Amino acid sequence: MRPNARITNEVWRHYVAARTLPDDVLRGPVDRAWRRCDLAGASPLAMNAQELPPLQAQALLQERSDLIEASRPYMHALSQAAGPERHAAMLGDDNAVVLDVVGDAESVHGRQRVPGPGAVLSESHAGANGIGSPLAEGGYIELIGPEHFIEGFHLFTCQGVPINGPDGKTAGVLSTSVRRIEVSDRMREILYCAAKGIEAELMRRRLMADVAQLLASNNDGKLLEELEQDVVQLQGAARLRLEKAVLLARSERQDDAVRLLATATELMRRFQQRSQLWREIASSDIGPPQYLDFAMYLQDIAALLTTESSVRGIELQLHGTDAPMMVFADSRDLRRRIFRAFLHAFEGSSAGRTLRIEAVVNEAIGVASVSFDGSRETALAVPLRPTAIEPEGVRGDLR
Amino acid sequence: MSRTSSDTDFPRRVLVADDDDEFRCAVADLIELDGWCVCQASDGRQALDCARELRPDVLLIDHRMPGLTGVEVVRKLRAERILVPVVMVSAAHDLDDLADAAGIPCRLLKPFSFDELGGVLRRAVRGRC
Repeated sequence: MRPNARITNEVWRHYVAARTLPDDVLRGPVDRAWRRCDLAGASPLAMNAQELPPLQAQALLQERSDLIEASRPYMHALSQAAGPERHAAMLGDDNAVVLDVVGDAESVHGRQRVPGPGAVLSESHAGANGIGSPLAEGGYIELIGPEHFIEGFHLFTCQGVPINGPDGKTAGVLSTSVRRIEVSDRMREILYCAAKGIEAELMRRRLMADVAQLLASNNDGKLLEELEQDVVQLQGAARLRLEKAVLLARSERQDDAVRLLATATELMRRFQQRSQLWREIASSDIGPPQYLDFAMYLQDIAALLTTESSVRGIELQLHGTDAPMMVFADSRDLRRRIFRAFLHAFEGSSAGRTLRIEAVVNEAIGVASVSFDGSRETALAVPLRPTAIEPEGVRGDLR
Repeated sequence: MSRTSSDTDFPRRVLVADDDDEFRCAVADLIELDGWCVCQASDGRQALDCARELRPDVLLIDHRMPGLTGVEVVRKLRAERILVPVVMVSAAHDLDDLADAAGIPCRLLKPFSFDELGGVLRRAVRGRC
């Protein structure tokens, strides 16, 4: 529900005079942000954000150039979605320092411009705002006019969402700052999708680095490079879907845009999932064994190898993978073993063939196994429980 | 990627050949929105047949496809004197080497933006890659 600007203003004035906050008046995330600002000693009367010294700011921009470059296309998409309205798309690092701003000339360079690169927008320095608050809150937040803690930001309606890096840690934050609430509404889904797009781009860059390493050190390097290209298609499609959604949003086809953004977000989710799978296959790490769904692992690898099998002219038919099939194994090791078993089976198959992949559980000997065209040569068996021992004669993986 | 006033020869026909359905449809949807007339092919052989039949103004073709690779399709078309302008697209890190070896000057590394896509299609049609 929209906050009442008059009441929010009154709460702000009361806070300035008495330094106390009433309960249950501000929206939940805003209330939490104000209380954090109060505890941190932020000044509600500040008119602008503090800035890093120029040399320090320059060094930070250099250090975070990968995030800045990865974000550029998505910040431009946000800027395009705002159209001729006063707006700024802003990128912050994980400490809420502004790294980049894209927007109309007045918002970026004018008298009432938004804080630029080097500005420190953590809540303790700049109160509740579209950069610092999503980081402190750990998720999306919107601040309308006087919901900003400091007076200098009351002109703006801001929203922001954290960006996670390939390691799962917060890499930064993406935010928009506009003058009209309606414009902010129009940009909400695009902002969310753009943040996912940046996360996907960061992952793609990580994959490229991994491929370069693999090519230098691994016999499977060429094949893994081709598989990485297949995975990247998903990110490419998602990015184009997002761009089309922006065009639709600008031409007032908001419902179509939202549908397309949902598709783009889902593609990015699949890209992240496949990228993670690819990285596990490409790595040589091992971890502790745990209970895993063998059927799902088989489906994942089959999906990853869709293009590869198609290029080889082999049709994959999975059987017995509809229900969960719990086994006890190390996740990465299991993925690599399944992957190699598939490749081994591909090599024994020929173009135009259908490869029957059948998963079964054999409780009597305590294993789940997968076979390819019924061949024992390429079969792979995995224990169901920690105590189970891999039986002789049910092997074939290339570990 | 809106058209400029010098683009008086639209609609142009583009054949988009890519085995990845998501990617091919995303590309086709976008360029249709920009006024191109789009045909689609989902593997190398289909791309070859469509190009022979439709004689598109430009062929946007992925390299890694079942049936025939993008380069193989282009070579076959040339052998048949079907000299359609080609944009080679790929996520391959050695795309430039691939395209150079096949004598394809227009290429686009995946992932790319709508602007990059529109720009390279127009350059390909004008023979100015």
